[in-house]
Amino acid sequence: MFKKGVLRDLFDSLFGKSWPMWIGGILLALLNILLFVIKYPWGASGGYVNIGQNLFQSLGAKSIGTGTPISLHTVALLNIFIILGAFISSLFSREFSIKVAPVGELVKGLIGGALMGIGATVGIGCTTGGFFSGVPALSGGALFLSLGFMVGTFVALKYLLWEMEALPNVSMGKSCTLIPGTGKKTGWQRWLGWILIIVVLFIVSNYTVKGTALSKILGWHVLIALILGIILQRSRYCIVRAFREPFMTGEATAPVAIIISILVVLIGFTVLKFFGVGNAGETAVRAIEMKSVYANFWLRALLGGFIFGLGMTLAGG
Amino acid sequence: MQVDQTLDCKGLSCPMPIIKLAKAVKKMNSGEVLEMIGTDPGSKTDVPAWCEKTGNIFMEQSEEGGAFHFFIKKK
Repeated sequence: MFKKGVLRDLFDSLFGKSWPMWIGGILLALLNILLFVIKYPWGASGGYVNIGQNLFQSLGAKSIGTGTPISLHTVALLNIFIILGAFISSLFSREFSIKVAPVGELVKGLIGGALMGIGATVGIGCTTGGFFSGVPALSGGALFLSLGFMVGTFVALKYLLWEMEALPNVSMGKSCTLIPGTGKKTGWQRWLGWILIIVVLFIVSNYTVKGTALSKILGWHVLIALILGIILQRSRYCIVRAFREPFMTGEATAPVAIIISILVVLIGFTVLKFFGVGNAGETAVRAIEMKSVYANFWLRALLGGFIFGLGMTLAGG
Repeated sequence: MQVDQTLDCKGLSCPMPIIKLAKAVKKMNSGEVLEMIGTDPGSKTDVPAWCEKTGNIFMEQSEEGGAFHFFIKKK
């Protein structure tokens, strides 16, 4: 059917070099539209709230109420399988490595991550649900959130520049590489990647054979998350970069890539809302899902965006 | 190739390598060569892009023992 080696060449060119960011942006946009057809637009922070709720419950915190189990929560599943998808993609590219940053950087990562958690909860979500889905869903709050991101990124960047002059030791010091990502003896990475792909596909089929409306939706989420993770890893699609680049290097690669993908999502979402495409579950439930924009006080979005913007730039990645 | 200065960015993640690179190059004299060593895979595209934007010359890059080496000549 194929000339010998054609598939191999295709695989090598897909995972041999990184993809342009705008290509990744368009592919992510199409999958985001698909997610809206199936259920909700793409989000992330809601899934971490769910995972956190389950974690604290298992530790005995009863006062926070009963959370949906992680295996039945669409957004939590997206988060988990996106990370797994990106892991598989880095194995396929033979890029997987484990590095430990200097202590100062680890502390900044911890503080930045905490600020992102607080910001997403105070505000109206994160860069994914609030921005990448929120802006094309025509949420006014998302515009205030974006403004907050910009101010937060600017302030955190000023801090990083100040820190480098005043406290140069924070970003220096011992770092180590536990598993190097390049060099020889990386053949095992592709094998492990294939094994994990089979495991994920098995999980997808496990959801699908249950046959209920919810389990089919969950199966789709696992599969889409796997693809999202691969695209994210290959194209290094990074919303933080888009907010940071104008203030830092004056480049426009990341902002342009994000604007293109937002436009694609905008067109898709608008068509979906206009025609009411998608018939997942009850009509009344679908009608509420279709709005996908909720009334929120704008100051909340602005403040949350600022805190999140500080955190995401501080944490880096 | 004669390397005038070496900048160690191992273990640092985006955006720190570029911030440090910008600062180091600023202090150099025209024509001097900087070797930057880093482990962030994002640097592979970021460093050449930064050089193009700022007009500095991106000479070459190599990989060795899990780290990337970039050679940049100040314009």
